[in-house]
Amino acid sequence: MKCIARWGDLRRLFALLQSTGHTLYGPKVADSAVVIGEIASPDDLAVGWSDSQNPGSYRLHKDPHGPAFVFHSGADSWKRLLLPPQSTLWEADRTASGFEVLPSGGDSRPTAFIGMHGCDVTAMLRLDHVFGFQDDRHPSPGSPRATSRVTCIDPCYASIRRRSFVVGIQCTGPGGNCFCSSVGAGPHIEAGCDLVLTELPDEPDPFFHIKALTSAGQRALADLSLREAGPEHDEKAKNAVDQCAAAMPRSLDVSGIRELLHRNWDHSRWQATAHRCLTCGNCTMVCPTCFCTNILDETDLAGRRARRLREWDSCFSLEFSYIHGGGNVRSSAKARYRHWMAHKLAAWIDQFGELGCVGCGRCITWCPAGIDITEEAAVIREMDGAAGSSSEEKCHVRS
Amino acid sequence: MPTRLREGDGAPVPGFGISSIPSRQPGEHNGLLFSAFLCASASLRESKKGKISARTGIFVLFGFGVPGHNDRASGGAEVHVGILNAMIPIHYVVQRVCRETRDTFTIELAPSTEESIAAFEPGQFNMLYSFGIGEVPVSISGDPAESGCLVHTIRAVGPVTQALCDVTRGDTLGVRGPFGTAWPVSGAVGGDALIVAGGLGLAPLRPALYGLMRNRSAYGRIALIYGARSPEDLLYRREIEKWRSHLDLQIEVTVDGGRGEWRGHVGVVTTLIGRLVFDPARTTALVCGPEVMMRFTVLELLKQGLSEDRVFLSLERNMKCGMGLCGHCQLGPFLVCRDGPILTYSALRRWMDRREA
Amino acid sequence: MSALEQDLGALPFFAGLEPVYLRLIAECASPACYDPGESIFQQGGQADRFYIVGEGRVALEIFSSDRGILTIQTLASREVVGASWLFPPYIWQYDARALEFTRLLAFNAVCLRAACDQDHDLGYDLMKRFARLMVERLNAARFQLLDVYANPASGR
Repeated sequence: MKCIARWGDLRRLFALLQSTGHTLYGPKVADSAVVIGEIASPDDLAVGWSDSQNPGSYRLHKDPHGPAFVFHSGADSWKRLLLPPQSTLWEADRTASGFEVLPSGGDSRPTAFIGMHGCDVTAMLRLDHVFGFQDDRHPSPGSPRATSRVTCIDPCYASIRRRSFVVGIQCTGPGGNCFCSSVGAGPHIEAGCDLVLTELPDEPDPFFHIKALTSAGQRALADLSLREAGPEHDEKAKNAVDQCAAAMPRSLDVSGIRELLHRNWDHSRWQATAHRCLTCGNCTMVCPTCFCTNILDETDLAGRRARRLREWDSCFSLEFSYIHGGGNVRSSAKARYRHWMAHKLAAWIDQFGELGCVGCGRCITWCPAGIDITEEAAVIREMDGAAGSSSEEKCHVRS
Repeated sequence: MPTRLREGDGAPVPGFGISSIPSRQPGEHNGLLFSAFLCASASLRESKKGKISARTGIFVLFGFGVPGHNDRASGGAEVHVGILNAMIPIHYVVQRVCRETRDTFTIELAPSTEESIAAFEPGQFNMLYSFGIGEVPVSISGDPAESGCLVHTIRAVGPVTQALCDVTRGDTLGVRGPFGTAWPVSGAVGGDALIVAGGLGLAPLRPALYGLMRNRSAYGRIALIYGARSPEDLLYRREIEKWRSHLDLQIEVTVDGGRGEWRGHVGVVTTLIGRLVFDPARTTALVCGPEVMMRFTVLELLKQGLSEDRVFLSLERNMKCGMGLCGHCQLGPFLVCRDGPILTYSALRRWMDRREA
Repeated sequence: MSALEQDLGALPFFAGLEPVYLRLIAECASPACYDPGESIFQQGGQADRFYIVGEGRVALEIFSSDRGILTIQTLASREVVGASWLFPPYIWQYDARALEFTRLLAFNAVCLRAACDQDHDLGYDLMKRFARLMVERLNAARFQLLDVYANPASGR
């Protein structure tokens, strides 16, 4: 079902969601960046804000004469809501017979995620596979976990996903560091959302094409009594997104990427990049698919109550690979950078049958050293198999 | 092999459906054969009295299904289906503590309530929790056929393991598991089986030895080589003597350094491999110990003519969740808690050769 | 071919040795046996022979007054004992003691060293065998040195 909508219709959509108890989240401006937070109306979104993104650089500027939604990937990702930075798994009290795990409540309030770009929607589908969530609201679910040997189902994640109503936005212009189209993650959105918005170009006021991908989305459109989209609207929307896909400033050639990285495991490029990498872990924090967490056991001072927490962790931290009673497996920056990039582009394929990177460009923007994953991949591909690309020793013998 | 699926008294759980799959033999590659759905916040545990307790938790469903691919994550080790509640530990009470060496203890646990972990396979591990101190992965070192008793051999190398070694009878510990892949006890049927254990590595191998001996006639020769630091560091001394009395089991024990009273072998385990009688073309090797020891051992085994995909190693990595969700235990494409800890050398070779992988 | 030559030829250490050399080596060999605990050779003594164990077990040891007898390595059937005969000063580096009733073949080192000097092909062949043995022993010794089973918490 496809409709067209004006700004006022968006306000009514928000009101409709609020009236059914949804808490709304979307990209808004805070601290000179676009971040995801709680919103109440479409006016709270980063309307009219555009960004200039380059390696290691992010600047917001207001574009009052342009379209409403011209922001790109912000300073954080929807991972903040899907996999909260910190959550308590359980609490327990010491008892005479040992310990007793306390019954926990659970959040059951419905939420609405408004303003997910194509890359972020794909990232969410990637995380679905990591956490074993099978979304039965969509007619054709994404690639199944056929290549994974374990289905681990995290009900916390499943609960968050099941009670979220997702409104995606197809980008009509790429960001400075974007490359979603080359990794097959956008800008078109075909799954994962209940509604998909596309802002139609060359309109005096914000004018949107909306398509429903689920029955919940269809119900919402029906409740709003929106005008149906005509073929000219469909075409305009499609062209706008196609144009965006064709104008990507960066690209990552993913053909045979897994074998490419495996072949060049000892490539000299890794060391060169490691010199620049601060192992700060920013990339893992802003990446929408990085899912590594740490499990911590804490206790109060009296030793009476203990709790187990799960919080974001980063493979760039030195202790990440620490072996009990041994040392750190990956102690050099080179090893840690290589591990991160190879997980995203190679090991993820082994583990989940798909790429871990969605081309949002956040790691490029937020890296203080401006390291660009697309450039790294390109250099390795260019120097594939060349001298210095393997661990073979240079021959010092002169004849 | 029976599946590990338990549904209490067999009554179907509302909103929960699962189809079981048989355990797989090494070398078999298939697409995933099962599917599972889950209702929002119920978890299932094996229950002695047939009652099912519901609690929020994370489910783990182990399956075996990897499309045929040379470099796939599959190490060819056996994997068995099980359902278990994952992040909340189950209460177990310490029944017995036995001091093996200066810093290593074997503890025997029994469930303190109706809940218990699912039956385990040799090579699998549990996450053991000491209240308020922390949780560590420890291989199960008891007999899988003894269902009432959970045995772990623990070496005190840090605060959590020290706490686990300090327990006394009646203390309560938390147990999550069993996790991981298993030794190819059924995969080795029809040939010779060679077990090479170094130090604490004998602990996760002992259940495999029990499995082999229980079905003795299905195998050709069975041999165990066990190396430790010194005679004082040998584990399961009394049991080793009992094993020695089996005429159909070759046993060689060696230490790295001995004093005058020790009259057994002195030297590294690799020196004993060539002394055993076995048919390399039909031999499955199960190796566990410090990484350096496994490396030397594998070299020697390959030199003796064993095939890379019949040499099985048990790896150790930093494990936090035990279920392949936290990412800490990664080794290249493998999540060691889930695709391992037992993997074939043929799957591991490229990754073991790489430094800081 | 005598029974002794046949036995020698069947040993892995002499596998592939020319029959004429087998005979020569057999002429330098004589059987020996030791009771449990009996000393075979002692550190500092003349290394005028080497041995191959037939049955039993031999311990290579070092004695120190504060730590007592330290066992470096044990050797069992078909294994070679003794390399100090190869190079001057031909002095045993370790004690060797039989741990159980042990039968050995003792090889006259003086005789063999002379034979190797005379026939370099024999010398080359024997040196190759001993070199390979030494490389294997060195690898094993280095592995042993790593003390891989030590408790990491006790401070490396």
